[in-house]
Amino acid sequence: MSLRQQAAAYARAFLEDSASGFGWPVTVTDPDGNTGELTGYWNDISHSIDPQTGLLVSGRTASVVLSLASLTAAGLGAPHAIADGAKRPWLIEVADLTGNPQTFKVREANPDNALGIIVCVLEGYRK
Amino acid sequence: MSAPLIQSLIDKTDSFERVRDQIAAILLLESSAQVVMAAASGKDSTLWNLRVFTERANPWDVFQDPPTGDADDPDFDPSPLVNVSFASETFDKSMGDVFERQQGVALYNIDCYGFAISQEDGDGHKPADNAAALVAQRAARLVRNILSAAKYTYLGLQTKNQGPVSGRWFQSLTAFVPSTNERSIQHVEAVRLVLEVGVVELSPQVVGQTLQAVGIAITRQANGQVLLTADVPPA
Repeated sequence: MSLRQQAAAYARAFLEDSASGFGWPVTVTDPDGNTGELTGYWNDISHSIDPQTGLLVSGRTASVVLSLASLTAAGLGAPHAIADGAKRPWLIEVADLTGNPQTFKVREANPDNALGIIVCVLEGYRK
Repeated sequence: MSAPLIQSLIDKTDSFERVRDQIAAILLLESSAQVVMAAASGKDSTLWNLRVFTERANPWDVFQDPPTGDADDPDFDPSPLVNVSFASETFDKSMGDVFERQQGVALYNIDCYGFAISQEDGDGHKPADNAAALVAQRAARLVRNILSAAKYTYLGLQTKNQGPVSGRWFQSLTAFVPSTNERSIQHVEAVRLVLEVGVVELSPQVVGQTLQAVGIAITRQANGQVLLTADVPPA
């Protein structure tokens, strides 16, 4: 196994370690309605942003990092942003630490094909 | 100088403060009335609702945790926010005087924040960035129409020649370019209206002291001599 393959394997292991690491269960749904239960690195924090009114206000950003190999194995492919309103977006559903369900749409997807992971920046979504 | 010269307590609001509060009061009153009229017309009255604030630095913190998925939160109000803040006031030296009255032009920033998150729509979805921009612009439309109405030429604050408002004029309406770097889960877009209001500002005056009344009579005699008779009360 080459170093690159090892790095990709380690990255997948870190992302999906829910026993002793930061891995967290997420449900991924593609625009066609196919779903997959995966484990990934989910992040949801608040911070100061500038809406260009001259004042800093509170914003909330969420993201999830998934293994491309796991997505492929689940038959889903790589998520990406869907701008077309005639289509359903890629959805990420996750329960937070208190068990509250959250539904997000993939707003921006940044794959790293060298490490075999994809970073999905999320935004809120209403069903 | 060792003693204060202003003998009365300055316990009033200046015109620029009154006008700011009046703008907010007008927007709240009229948007509430619009909601009632919309409901009576069988329309979605929530489209006419505005949440009005004054001098708030972070009014749209309320949008931080919107319900997502199938969840409903009855306490979450997605109505657009309007924040009225005083920006500046300049004075025209050619109008007014150095003793009491100054004619000023006050500028107010009326920021309209529209919120949206992406929403499932049949086989597609409504994107949040588009929806938030339309909500903000709808709020700006309401604000401009309400404050530009003929009934509010002087913002309900007296008449032209009596002050404190001599007129109002919208200087600009600007939609802020949405930032692509913030990547918040909620989309909030803003539109700013700048309202120019002519105001009169008054200042504390010298409080006169009670004088003793002194009666003086001046007479001219037949020979032309001028005589003066003074009636001075005892000290």
